[in-house]
Amino acid sequence: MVSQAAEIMGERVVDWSDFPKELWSPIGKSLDTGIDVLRFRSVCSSWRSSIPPSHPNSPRFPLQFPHPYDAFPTHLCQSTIYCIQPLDSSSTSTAATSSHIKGYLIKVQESASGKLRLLEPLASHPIRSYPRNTKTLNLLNFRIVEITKAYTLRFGSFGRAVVEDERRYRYRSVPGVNKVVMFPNSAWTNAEGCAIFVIFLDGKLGFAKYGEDKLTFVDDQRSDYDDIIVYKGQFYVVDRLGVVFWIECSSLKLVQFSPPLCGLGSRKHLVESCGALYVVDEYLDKDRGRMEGNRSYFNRRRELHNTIDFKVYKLDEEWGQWVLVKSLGDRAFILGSDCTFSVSAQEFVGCKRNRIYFMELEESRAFNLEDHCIADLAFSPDPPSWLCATNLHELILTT
Amino acid sequence: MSSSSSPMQSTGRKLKLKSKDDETFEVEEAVAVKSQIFKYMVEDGVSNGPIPLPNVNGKTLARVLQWCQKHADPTITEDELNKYDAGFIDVDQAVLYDLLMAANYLNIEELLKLACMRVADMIKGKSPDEIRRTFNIKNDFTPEEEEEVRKENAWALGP
Repeated sequence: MVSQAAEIMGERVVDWSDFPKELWSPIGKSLDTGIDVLRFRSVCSSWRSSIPPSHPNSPRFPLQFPHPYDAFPTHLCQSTIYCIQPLDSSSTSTAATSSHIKGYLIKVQESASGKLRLLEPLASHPIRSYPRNTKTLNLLNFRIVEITKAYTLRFGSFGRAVVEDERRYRYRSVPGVNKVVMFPNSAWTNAEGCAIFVIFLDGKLGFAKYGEDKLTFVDDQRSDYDDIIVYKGQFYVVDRLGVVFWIECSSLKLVQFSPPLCGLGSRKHLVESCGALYVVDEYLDKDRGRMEGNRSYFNRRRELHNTIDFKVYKLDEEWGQWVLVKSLGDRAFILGSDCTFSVSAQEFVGCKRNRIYFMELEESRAFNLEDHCIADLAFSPDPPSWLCATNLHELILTT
Repeated sequence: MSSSSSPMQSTGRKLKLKSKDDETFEVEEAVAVKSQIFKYMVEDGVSNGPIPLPNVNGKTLARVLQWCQKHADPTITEDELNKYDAGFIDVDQAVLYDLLMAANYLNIEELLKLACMRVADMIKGKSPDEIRRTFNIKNDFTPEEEEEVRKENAWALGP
């Protein structure tokens, strides 16, 4: 094997073909997303045989899951948000963003038939202008990074009924479910250890282990939880007053993690950005008020609430206090229908810095922290040409 | 690898090591035992004269011993250690390769894990082709494996 010995960005190129084969296994096991493990196993024969594609008892979706407040059969769906980028045209690329082509955010959801749906990451609608005749996406043509996972609860028990519904584009999400999170969810996760939390109706918090058919109420005296997130491998929940609690999973005990926010907004969201925890306080034009029971919840929902402002706070963990954040800098926060995440805006098509992208009813909106203005624009622009064009050459009809 | 359950004894006993390019190093036993190889040697009482390490060059051995020193220090906090590790492993491919080989040969579990994670970072997000170019790896799949790989890397889209 001729080693080019070229200077690539000042580094000597090393020939790894003499590397001890048994060391590829711990390296492969250090990768924790499904897509990275897939790529690793697609490199060469020795890498492929050094690690399995996933844990033998990996969580499988759709997953039968108890309905939080009623008796209908429901199931949990997992989606993944990816950043997808074309391959760099130059032959040497070590930096992640060396290509000047921005990435595109997509949400991929596994349907009951095993096929994948491409959705907009914010609204979760199917990508409108994606060519309908494209049957497969050849991943070998792209750079793909997993951003986060998202979960939704849908009607239907697992099986043919769901496949039929989906074929007719009937995806009936369970109403009144605000957020579902599951952890752990890496490529090496054993389903036995997975914990799932649900915030539903006016803010009740429920818990179930993977495979359980009953929901356990966490702290059933209270129903004012606004959002839940997995942060640094632990579950954190925020209530209407902006107090963040850490959830101790084995006992389902809530441990106060922050002082109250004393924010005057109506709805709190938890976002992680660059390793720090943020609360986004959303101001609505009408007070949400206290809601009791299922009926009043649904009656309330019919009143339209408009978002008029946001305030962002960062938790200073050292001093245990909230700091008002005036600017997100180059970051953008995305408050999706079933997940929250943050990105470096300049790396993505259609993403502007210092913005909060959120959903209002079925519409996507962008809030600008600089002037507190809300723009009525579609977060997800049309898929770029490089995402569509290449597939016309790879039109493979799948059975 | 865990540090021994008894507190670090500064017996002052030192081990002499000789790299493959004849550089000699003197290192405290408590530091050297981060390597399982040296740990067994010390336990078996075989530590007379310089221990030859024909698989590690002087530069790499110096780096490795520096890492061991830091990790054997009882006064250092976990945060400081993490910061140190992040800086330590931020090296170019050639140095990383040497560190991996040395950590494997000397059986230093934590250092090996740190280096493996760094290599994993170099793999993350890249396409298989890019990974091959980064590591100068040849695509040696059989036609059957190639077909499997092609199938796995095709997302079947549908309703």
